[in-house]
Amino acid sequence: MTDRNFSTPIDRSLNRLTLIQQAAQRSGALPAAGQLRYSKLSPFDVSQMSGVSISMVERGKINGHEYLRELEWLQKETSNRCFLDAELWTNEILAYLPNDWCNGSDSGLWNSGVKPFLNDSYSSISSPTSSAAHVPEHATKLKSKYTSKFARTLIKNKEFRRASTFLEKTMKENVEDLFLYYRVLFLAYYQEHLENDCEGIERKTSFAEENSPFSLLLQKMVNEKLREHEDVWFEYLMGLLEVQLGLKVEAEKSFRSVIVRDPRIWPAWEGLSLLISDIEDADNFILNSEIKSLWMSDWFMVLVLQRFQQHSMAIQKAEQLVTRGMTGIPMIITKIAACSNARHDHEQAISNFMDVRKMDPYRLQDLHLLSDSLYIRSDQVQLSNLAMDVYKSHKFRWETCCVVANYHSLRRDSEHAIKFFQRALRLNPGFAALWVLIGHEFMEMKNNAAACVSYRRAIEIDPADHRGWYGLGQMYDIMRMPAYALYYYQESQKCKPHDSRLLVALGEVYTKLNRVEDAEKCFTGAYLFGDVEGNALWNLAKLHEKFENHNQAAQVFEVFLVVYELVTSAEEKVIYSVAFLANHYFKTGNFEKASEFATKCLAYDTICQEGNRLFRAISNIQQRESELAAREKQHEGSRSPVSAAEEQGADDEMSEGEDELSF
Amino acid sequence: MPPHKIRAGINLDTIFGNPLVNVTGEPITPTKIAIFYLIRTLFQSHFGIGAVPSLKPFDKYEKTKAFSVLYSLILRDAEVSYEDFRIIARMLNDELDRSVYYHFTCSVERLANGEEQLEMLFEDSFYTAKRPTHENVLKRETKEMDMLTFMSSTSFMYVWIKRVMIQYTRTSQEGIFTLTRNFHEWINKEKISPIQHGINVKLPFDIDCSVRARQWIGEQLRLIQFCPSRAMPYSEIMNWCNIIRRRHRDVSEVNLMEAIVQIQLQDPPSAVDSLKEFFDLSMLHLTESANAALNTLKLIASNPGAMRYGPILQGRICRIFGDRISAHTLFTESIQQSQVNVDDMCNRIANIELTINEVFMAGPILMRVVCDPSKKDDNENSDNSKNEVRTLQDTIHAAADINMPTCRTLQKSVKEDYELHAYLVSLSKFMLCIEDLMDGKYFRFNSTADYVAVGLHRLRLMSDAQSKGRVVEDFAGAIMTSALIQSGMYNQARRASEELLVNNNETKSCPKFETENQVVAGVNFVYSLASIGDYDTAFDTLSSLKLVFPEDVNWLCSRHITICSNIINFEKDFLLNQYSACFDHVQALSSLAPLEFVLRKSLLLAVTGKLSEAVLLLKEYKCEDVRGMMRIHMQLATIGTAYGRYDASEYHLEEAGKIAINTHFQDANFLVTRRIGSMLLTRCMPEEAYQILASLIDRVESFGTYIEKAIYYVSMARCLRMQGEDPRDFLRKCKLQILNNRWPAMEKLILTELTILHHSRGMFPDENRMTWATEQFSKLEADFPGTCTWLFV
Repeated sequence: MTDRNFSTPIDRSLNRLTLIQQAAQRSGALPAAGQLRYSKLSPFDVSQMSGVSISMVERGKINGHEYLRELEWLQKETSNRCFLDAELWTNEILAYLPNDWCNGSDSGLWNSGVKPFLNDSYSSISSPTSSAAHVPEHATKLKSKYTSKFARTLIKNKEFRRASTFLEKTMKENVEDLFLYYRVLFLAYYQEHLENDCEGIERKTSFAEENSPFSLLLQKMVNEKLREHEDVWFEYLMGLLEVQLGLKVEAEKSFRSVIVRDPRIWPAWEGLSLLISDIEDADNFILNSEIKSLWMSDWFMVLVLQRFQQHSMAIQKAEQLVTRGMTGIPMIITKIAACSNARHDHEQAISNFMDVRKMDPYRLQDLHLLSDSLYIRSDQVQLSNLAMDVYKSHKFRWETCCVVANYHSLRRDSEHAIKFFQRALRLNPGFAALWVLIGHEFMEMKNNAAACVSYRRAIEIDPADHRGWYGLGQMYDIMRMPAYALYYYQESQKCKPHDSRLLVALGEVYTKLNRVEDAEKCFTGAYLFGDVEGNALWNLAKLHEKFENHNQAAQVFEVFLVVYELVTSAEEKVIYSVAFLANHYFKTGNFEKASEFATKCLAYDTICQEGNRLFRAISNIQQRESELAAREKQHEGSRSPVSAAEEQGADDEMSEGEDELSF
Repeated sequence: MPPHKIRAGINLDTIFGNPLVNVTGEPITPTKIAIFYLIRTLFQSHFGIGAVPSLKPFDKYEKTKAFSVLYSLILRDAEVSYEDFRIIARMLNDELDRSVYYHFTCSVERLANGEEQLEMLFEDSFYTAKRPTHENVLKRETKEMDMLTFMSSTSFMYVWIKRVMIQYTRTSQEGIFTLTRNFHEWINKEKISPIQHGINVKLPFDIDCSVRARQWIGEQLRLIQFCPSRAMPYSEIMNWCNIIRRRHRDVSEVNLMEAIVQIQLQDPPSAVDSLKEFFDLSMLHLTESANAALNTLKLIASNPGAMRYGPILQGRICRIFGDRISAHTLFTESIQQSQVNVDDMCNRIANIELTINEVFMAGPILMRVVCDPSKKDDNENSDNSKNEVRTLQDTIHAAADINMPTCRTLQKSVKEDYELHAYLVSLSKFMLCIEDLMDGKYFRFNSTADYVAVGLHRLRLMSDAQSKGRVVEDFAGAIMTSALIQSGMYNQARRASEELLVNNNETKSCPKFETENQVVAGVNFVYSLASIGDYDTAFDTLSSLKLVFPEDVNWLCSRHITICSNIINFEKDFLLNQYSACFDHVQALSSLAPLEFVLRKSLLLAVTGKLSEAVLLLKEYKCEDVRGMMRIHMQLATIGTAYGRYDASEYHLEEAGKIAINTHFQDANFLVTRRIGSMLLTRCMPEEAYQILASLIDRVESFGTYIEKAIYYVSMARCLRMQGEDPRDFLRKCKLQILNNRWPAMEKLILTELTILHHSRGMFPDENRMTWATEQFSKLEADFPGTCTWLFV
């Protein structure tokens, strides 16, 4: 079909060319006819080209004051309402405030002499001149203030390196910015260190490099003599750097110094609690340094006591704080719960955690210990509720993964449990207890090799955690290798010398190896340290019985009875003990005690007959003795011989139809 | 039929980390990148680039030239500068042409200019050596694929390339930036800067990758056990072990290395710690079944062998440091585990260890000791269990004939080493014969005699790289020298020791051995020299031994030297009547050789007049060793003789005689009989003494030390004199034994005899000779005061 407008081919081609040119003009590739390529396009032309028609009315210069006010309002609002992105956006603009507007420019938008929208020159839209001949002091200060705020917003948004470049401009003007500059460099290096580490996530190798940025930063701070600066936070920051560099002694000194200079700085207390060498040292530090701390020193002692496995004392110390007025604080209640969990007082731990959950249902700290306690109490209902709650709100937190893993473990779903423990480890690789729990799961699945390596990983992370050592010892013990397991039990006991369970396990291994004295010491120690599981005395008594030290066995059985006679769960052992003691005293001729225990036998159905038999035997013997005594008196008087056979025959009489109960 | 659903199960790789991820491949440096590019250039010259096939692939001769250059580059442990590399490329170009130099330099320069990115990959055809079908048709190549294959997939070069590539793929982004920067500097600035961070960090060449680290560990382990002086200093070894532990997480053998070093440093707790860590971490390892790995895509498999072998090594540590009871329990546990898992090899090893534990119960000295008192209740069971163990061992040995290695029906593991098997069998037989040696039974009237012969003479020498055959041979030789000394065959012992020491040569694969075998042979050589009174050579030898076996490097061996040195010094000083020095020498023996300490201390107490203390010391010492008991009885007898307590002396000599008769010690009879003769002589019964002593004339020459000979000759001389016969011949013989002031007191005794002989009322009156004798006596008395204590010996 021919186009009416284009009759001939030449016409068509020419017209096609025109169309193309017009299209090019519209797209801005070519300037409009009569216009040079780089000449300014009018708004109308622009709208023509783009095809969008809007009001492109020229507006006057922006009023600096208004501009500032507007932005300051926005900054305040976004900060209060926690719109971090908007706050950052606002602060960035403020940081680059034109110097004129820092002065308070007179050419305001709403000045009377200016018509903002009428034929202002095209050149009105131009960037304000940034370089003024002279910048007044107050303008510099204002700009500096905004720059500081911008840097702080960058820190909140975790852009540390960027923040440091801005703080570098302002650090000489105020101390806080000087501190923040070093602080932000520390954070930047730490973040980069973590990022570098995550690239080789499987290896988890720490490459100790000679010129690490932390050491350079520390050196710089030392050169600037910032440790002696009146702002004590500098010294604290240097302490953190020393910790990062593995200079534990120096770090401890720094933290101590910070606390002495200003006891209100809790982070220093916390850092020191992880470094201090023993409890007495911590106590002396608080007492001798005349630190005037209201309550932080007590909380510090709680942390130290917990660290050194003195959980009972830690609880006492925490409860003192509560008595002194710090009631209803979840942090304290959680700590008491954690210590209760460590003391195997799981009922108390669960109760405390539940109180905290009522106050703050989404608080996740140490909640994995609650799941441990619920697991040990086999409370499937509560554990599943807990798992569901935390999974809903915090899907990717390691505590959540731990809770869910325990939930699966309680349901005997070891595979899922391991999967979640593994996830928890990905999120928190430095937590030894997770490896221990994974090891336990592998033991449940009878995969000893994997369990062994898991426990080893736990020991690698934290050699002071007894659970890794204990797990290994248990594993080899189950494999019937007590001599090989002994080393691990010894190591675990060294980590926690006052744990009765470990002492009992050690004692049992010594028993298997026929090391009687060592076993005895262990069981005795376990009993003196509380005997959490209630089997130290029993094991000690059985040990003596096994090696035929019946007198000692009897002594221990007696103590056992005193402690456990009324405990229902130990009834079988009580019965055994009573029977043993009755027979033992009968054999040794202590008929009074034998009668006493024979009487106790009558209280139990299973050994009632035994008690009766003993009574009969005792009465027979006593009767014979009295007859003998009477005869002897007669002999003294009449001097008539008595046949030895008759006497012997009398001695040989026994109760009929009953065999001796032998042990 | 619906497909069978299999649960995936737990993937241990994801939990414990892919084992290959922890491997450190060949650390990448600019030189290695250049080698990689050179290989690629050569490959492309050989095969072609992309769709353009090479007109002339390399022939065998050309490949040999190319690869010899490449191997020399790969095996260098130092960096090569870019300029030198270009020279090498030019050399290759001259040999091979094909513009190798041009292509190589272009590729490298493109990298230097940033036109191309670093890429450590090969095209598919490198691996397959195949062209696409259409290219084959076009080129009309024959199917002789060998011509196109550039390198074998089993070659060292191929493995090296794989290791470089694995390292490159695991290098982090920052690491790649660092590599690129270093490479640019290498090319543009001719600067070789070592990499300071990441997995390609510069380390000592011997341990800069997992493969070399393992190799280094194997080498050092071998050297520490066989030739400690050639190993690196222990502190440096521990430093390198720390580096390996941090950098190469797959090399768990580093813990084993540390354990061995801790043993050398005499730190048993740390040794046990490291050893257990090694075995625990070895529980999971790279699967050996390629099929299983391919099917399941899982690389980690469990290795329960660690549970069987762990107790063995821990037991060895306990045994080395004297805790035999724990060692026994651990070996027993290993036996139980090996029986449960049907591991014959482990069973053998554990059984042998049990036997060794029972045989070598007195540390450096081979003798029986009193059993641990805590085991006294198990006496009834111990015999039964011992017999059971022995039966089990015999059963195993009967089933596994050393002469027919293929018929080892009991073996479970496919990888069992024949040499290890033969070593264990030899060792087990040898242990049995050592037990017989300790009991003085050289020629049992049962099949044990066969074991003795097998153990000592029929050991199979194998050309094994682990030198197990040589170790057992040297072990047998050393034990033989001890047995010869024990029997008084000092000359033979000297020859045997000398042969063992002289034949201790260094070879390419094996250094000069510095084990307990060598030191035992050495000290037996010293004892044999001392037996003839050659103290100078003996002390020289001891000094040499101290240099070769210093205590800080080889404490296990230096114990023998300490014992030997103190014994020889004691003997020398005792003969010179220097008793205070003797007390010092004896004190050093108290922990190392209790029986020697007791015997010598009692001797000193007796000669210094503390008779009751001396006797009490001997009687209180509980001795289970056959020869030890005989020596104690002889000592008590000689003390009794010296103090005139002939009843006691007679009793003890009788007891010693009973023991001597029931053993095969060649010198036992002679020693006891000589002392009987001395006792009779002291009781002024020269005829009886002479009768007894005269029968020993041949034995004294064969089995006596120079001290025994001197005493014998002087006893004979006195007997003859007392019977009115000429004793001068024996006096002369006695004098010949004690030349060079070895025993001045004995010389004074001889001079006394001479004085009596040449006295005016003597057998051969000669005033001059008598005067001369008295003058000599005075001189000797002035230099070496004190009486001759020959009766106590």
